[in-house]
Amino acid sequence: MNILGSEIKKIKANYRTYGGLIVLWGLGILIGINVWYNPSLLPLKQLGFRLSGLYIPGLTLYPLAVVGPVVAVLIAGESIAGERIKGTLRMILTRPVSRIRIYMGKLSLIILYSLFIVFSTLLITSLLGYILFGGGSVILPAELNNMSSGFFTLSAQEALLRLTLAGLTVSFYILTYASIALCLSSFMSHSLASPIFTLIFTAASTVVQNLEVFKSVSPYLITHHLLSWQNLMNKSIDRNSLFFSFIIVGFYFLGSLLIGITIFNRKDETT
Amino acid sequence: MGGVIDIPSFYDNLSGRENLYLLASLSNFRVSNSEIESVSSMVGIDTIINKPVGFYSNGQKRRLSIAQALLPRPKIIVLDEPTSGLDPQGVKSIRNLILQLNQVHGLTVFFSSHLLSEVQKICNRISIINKGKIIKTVKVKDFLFDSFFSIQASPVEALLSFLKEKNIPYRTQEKYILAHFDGNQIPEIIQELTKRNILIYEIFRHQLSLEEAFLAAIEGDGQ
Repeated sequence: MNILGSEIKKIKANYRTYGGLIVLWGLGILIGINVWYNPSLLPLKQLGFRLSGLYIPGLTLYPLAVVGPVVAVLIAGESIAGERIKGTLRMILTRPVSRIRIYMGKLSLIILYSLFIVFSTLLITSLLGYILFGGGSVILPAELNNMSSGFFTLSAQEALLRLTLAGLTVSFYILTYASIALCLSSFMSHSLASPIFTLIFTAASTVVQNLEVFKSVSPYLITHHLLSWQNLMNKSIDRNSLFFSFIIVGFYFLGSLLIGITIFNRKDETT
Repeated sequence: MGGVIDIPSFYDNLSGRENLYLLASLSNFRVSNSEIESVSSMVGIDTIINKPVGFYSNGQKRRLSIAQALLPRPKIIVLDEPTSGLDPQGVKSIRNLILQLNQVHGLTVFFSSHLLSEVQKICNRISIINKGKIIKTVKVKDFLFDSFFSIQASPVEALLSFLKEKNIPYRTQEKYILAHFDGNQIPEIIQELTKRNILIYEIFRHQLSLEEAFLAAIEGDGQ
């Protein structure tokens, strides 16, 4: 708890923390204002359905899943490498605390940060949606990406539950990217190197995923699961597909965690 | 025991006070505000303790690093190169602080340094480390005044082979041979040299700088 507490102090004093939050909150608010200004932009409105305020946080999940990892990667990537450059890592290592605890403290902070950026954005956009459109039940296509699949109604309570689960799914996805960045940060000596390499890895994974020749590999790439949260918005949730996504993303998370700890534990930080 | 690494680094966005809290919490002990006031005043940074460390000079950061070493109320503090990278004024101020910690607050200060002039000004006792091994631990006063003798003798080769034979560390300094041995051995050495028909022109106690003494000890260890 001491380590997590000290990590929270550090992140609170870092202006980058707020930069990322402002971008995500700003995107959510812009989406809300855009829908309010021109509600016909929503396909459901065109079909004559009443809009619920919960559409706004639902729509915000898209930019969260895309921009959220970038924001978290910038924080996580700097976490160890940044301290190594500033020399504060050596200072911390003079304390009676193991490297595994230091690493886990940083990871715990990233878990909290991933949850915070997602749920604070969802909360803000929910409030905005409620103010602009009111509450009430939500009508969705039976399959989120297929308007001709028919429609179903979710009570406000169930919509909130599904939104929360989708938020957790997006948080886990963001966290995994941050964990990869933290892993790279454990041996890199430039605070931007790890975020840059993580983003290059993402771009490469996205390209490979869309190549016909690698179709069989595609489901095992992390980028393939970017929108797995959408499954939670369908009428019937494909639990197998969702479970598979969790397994794959979880594999990346645990793999990067184990590699990161091993490297950090062995790296010579005395010079 | 408290310690300071050679290049102390802190979180620039946090104040000195917050840095001290943070480092204390990582060491699993709680510090009160009054304890922070007390150590910051002891090291002379009480007026800037609430400012972000990014605004501190190198000397002030060095003082802050000593403050964090003092927080656990240690009896001994270990300082690694406490004056490296400081300007002459900063060096003097840290030197005075170390002396004050020892003389006013009764702390034992153990520090490593390559700046032998500083060591000479601050320390009571020194240990010389060569190739990772302590080769000598001695009071500075004894080391500088009591154990080095300049000898002028002829033939020099005979003197040198005598010193080698007796495992006495030496080095050549202009027309003298600077040898390192205990003062009590002088009569015995003179007697032995005379027996070997070595003519002694001069033999006197040599007052060394710490640097000379250090080099002599290191060279002696290498022989």
